[in-house]
Amino acid sequence: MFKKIFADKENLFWAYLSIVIAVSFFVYFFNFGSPDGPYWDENYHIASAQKYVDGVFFMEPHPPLGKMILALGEVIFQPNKNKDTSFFLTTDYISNFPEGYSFKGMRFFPVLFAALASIFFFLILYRLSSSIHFALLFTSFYIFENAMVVHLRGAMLEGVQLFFVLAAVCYFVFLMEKKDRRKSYEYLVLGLLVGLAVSVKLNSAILCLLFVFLAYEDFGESILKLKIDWAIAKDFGLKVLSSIVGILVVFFVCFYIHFAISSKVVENRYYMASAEYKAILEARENGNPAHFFLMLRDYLHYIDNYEKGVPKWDPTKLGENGSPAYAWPFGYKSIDYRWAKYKGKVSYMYLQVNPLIWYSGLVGFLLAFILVGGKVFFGTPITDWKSFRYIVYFFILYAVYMIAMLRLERVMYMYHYFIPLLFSLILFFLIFNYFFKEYIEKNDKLLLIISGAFVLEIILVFVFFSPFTYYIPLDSLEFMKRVWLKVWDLVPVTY
Amino acid sequence: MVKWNDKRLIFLYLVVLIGIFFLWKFIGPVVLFKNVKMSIIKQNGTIDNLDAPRVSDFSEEYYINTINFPDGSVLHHKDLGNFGYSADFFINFQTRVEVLKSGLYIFQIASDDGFRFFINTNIIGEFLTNRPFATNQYTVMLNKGLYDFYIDYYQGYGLLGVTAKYQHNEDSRSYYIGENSPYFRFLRK
Repeated sequence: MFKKIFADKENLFWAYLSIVIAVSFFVYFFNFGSPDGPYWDENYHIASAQKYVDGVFFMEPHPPLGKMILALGEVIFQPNKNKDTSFFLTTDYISNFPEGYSFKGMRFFPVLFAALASIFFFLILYRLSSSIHFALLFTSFYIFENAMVVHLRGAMLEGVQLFFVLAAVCYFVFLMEKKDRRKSYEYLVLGLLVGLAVSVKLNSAILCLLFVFLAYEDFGESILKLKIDWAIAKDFGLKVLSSIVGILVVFFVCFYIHFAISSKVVENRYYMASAEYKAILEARENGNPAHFFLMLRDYLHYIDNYEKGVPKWDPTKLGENGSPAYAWPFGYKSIDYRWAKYKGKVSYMYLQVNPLIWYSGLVGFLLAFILVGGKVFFGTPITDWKSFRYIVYFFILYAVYMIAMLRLERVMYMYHYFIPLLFSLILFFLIFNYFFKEYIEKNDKLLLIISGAFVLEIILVFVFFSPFTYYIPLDSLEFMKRVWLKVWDLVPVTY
Repeated sequence: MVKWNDKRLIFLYLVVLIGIFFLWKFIGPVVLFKNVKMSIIKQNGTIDNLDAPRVSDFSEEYYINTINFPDGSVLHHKDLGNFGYSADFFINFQTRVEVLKSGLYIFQIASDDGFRFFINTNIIGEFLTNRPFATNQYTVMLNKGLYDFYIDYYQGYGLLGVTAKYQHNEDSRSYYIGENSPYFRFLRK
């Protein structure tokens, strides 16, 4: 019976999609209220999100969408209805949470978005491969990555961000598969998706390259052959405009909602609002669109000023959690987000990579570099142009993001690698498809079995490192068994 | 029929290698051949000598392969890694030894801070108070047979470390206690 059902491609697609959703929800939602204390940036993000809940004025270094989505969970589920959270409104960093405070409200949507993002990852692989079986197997790259799971299960921004990033990439791949020239409204939709990602965190701006790639697909031939007439120029201009409008509409709407909600000034906390903005707040005119650009100017000025104040990476500093971008692909540096001692055992929330996945990404990038370099410098013949085209695009996305990160002076952290990690994992999958094309097209059983064994190893490594992900107590020896490489800089808590 | 140079097999070899690596990390020889029992007692308070009253905050027991914790700021085993202890704790090491060759044996116990070394119930040597990392050497006649070795060690504050080695007087090579050799075979006590 099963054989009959799964012989139908559509049934198989839905069955596999259901598996992806079920496993991803289990991995991400399992006991997501734990730990019952904050970790990493939750102290900051919850302070900001609570201000949306109570309509309090504030500014902070990220665009508003991620925090709003955090607040939405708190508003819907109200798990702390009877708790005094008023002091959250007078600080940007909550040192002590009220007794019995539940994090489930604030964590709910980031976790939901992180779990749902697996769908886009699966769809991307499905589009890039000629076999749905391999797409399913390699979706484990997203689902079982320990560092992503531990970080995205928190009330933080990256869960929401990666959802929109993968949604945009998925839509880009969908557009790439179209045989005809893309329409302006499709650029607009892609712009909206990119706008959503950028409205959560500004480093999503790397996705702007997707428009360049699409434009190259649509106009590259005309430009290279210098066949540019008025119709092409008009079409090109319209698409550029559609893309910009798409991004800005979302960006502005998110900020408008922020300005409209954040109205009450508590304890004269004006942040860096100008005199005009203060007057607007006092007159309760902050919902008036006429003042939008003034308020936006002040907010962006605050972000700029905040970034200037962030310290540089200092490896000599005791307890430095930051790491340079060139070390991220190797898993440096793990961060001990939170720990609790109990009679010689210690529970950890550790930003620790699943090395099998992380290094697959590195291999993917290196092989892509060899393939692209071989073609560019030595004219190596290309056997699969469809995959090669994608390899070039994702290679550029990865390289440009990393170059941008290397140029930053402020301290950055390993989770800033999540976006290029996803690009590198897609590269691995593309290279895999490029290398085994003839077998994948035939759904070769031996290759499926080997791939299945590889995925099993990924899952086993995930389980092995899962105490760091799910706050499960370890003794020193159990901890040390997980120190596979010194470069990770895993350090147990000292008694 | 799959030929040996089939490119799918490259992937298979990689997967097998990864599997072996994983098994090695999970049940490697360091994990398998551990015959020294190590009991750590975390003191609730400070310690300034080996005979200070023991007020245990908590204690842990491990089996380790060798007594080899080089001088440093935390208790760091050469093979096993960082144990995460830095101040005010006792360790009791115990192991059983089958002496395979009778003769004079040289024992070198290095510690920061103090230690006491027993063979069966006989005290072979000790240093009871604080000191920087330094070595004491003892020569003992051992006949073939079974012996119980004990080392009590304490760390007060500052740097720490403890290593214990043995050497047959007719051999230039020394071994860490816990490390099998033509002279000693270690057993769990």
